[in-house]
Amino acid sequence: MNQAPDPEEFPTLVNFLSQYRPPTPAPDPGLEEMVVRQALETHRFRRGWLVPPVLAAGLLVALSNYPMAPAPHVRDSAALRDFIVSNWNGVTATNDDHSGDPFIQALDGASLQPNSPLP
Amino acid sequence: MTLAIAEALTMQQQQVPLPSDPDLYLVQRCLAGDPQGFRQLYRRHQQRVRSTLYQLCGAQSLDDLVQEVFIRAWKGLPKLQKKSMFSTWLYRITWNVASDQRRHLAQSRERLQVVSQQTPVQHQDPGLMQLHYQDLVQRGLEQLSFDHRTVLVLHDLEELPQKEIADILRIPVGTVKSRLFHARGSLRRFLEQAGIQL
Repeated sequence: MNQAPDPEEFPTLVNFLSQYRPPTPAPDPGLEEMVVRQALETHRFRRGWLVPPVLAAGLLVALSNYPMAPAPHVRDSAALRDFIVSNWNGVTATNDDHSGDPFIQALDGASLQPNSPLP
Repeated sequence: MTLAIAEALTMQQQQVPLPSDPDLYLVQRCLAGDPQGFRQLYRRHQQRVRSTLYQLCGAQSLDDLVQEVFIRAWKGLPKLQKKSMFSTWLYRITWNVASDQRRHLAQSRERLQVVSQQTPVQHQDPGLMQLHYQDLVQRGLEQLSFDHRTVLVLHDLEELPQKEIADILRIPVGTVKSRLFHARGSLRRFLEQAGIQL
C-alpha cells in the first residue's frame, strides 16, 4: 500500500523548485505564424473540407444525367430494322396479289415505258 | 451619442452571449473555419505547453515540439468530445509528444548528450548562485523517471491540481499522489547530496 502524501509535504522543496526552475527558452519569433500556417495547410474545417464533397456530389449528378449515347440513334435503328424487314418481305413475297397495295396498283395502271414518269 | 452606442453594444452582447469558457468559444470558432480562433488558442496556451515540454524534454527541438503539439491539437479538434476540457486535452497531447520525444532521445542518447552539453541555454543574467541552483534543479529533474518527472512538473511547476493530472495521464488520483511523493523524495535526496539543505 503506497503512502498517501500530505499536500503540504515538502513545502521547502516545492518553494525551491518554483524559485529555481530553469527558465524556458524564448520561442522563435516566427513560430506562431509557422504553426498557424501549417495548421491551415494541413487541414481545414467546414468551409475547407465541405467543398470537395459538395463538388463531388454535383459532378456525380451531372454525369448521371449526361446522355452517354444519343437516344434517337436507338429509335433510328428500330425504324431502319422495320424498313429492311418490310422491304425484304416485299421483295421475296411469292404472293402476286398486290390488290391491297396502292403503290402497286398505281404501277399496274401506268404504262411502263422506259422514260415515262412514275405516277 | 456615446450613451446610445453603449446601449447598442449592451443589446448586441445580450443577443449574442459569449460562452463563459473562452476555450470553448475559440474551439467553436476553429470548427467554424475561423483561423483566428486557432491563433487565439495558441496564444492562450503556448507558454504553458512550452514550459511543460521544456521541463520534460529539455531545450532540444523545443520549437518543433511546440509546433507538433498544436498541429496535433488542430487536427484533433473535431474529435474533442468535452470541449470545455480543452486545456486538459491539450496537456494530454503535450504529454504524448513529450513521450514520443523521450523515446526518440533514448534511441540516440549518446549523440544527444553531447549536443545538449554544447547547446547554450539563454539566461537573463541572473547571479551565479541562481544559475547554480537552476542547473541543480534541471539535473535533479533529469535523474527522475519520466512518470515521476511528469507528475512533479505538472503539479509543482505548472501548478495543476492532482485531479486534472489524473485526467491528463488517465491514471487514478492515488497513483498521482504516490508518484508525486516518490518524485519529491528522490529530488530532495539529490539536492541534499549536492549540498542543498531543505
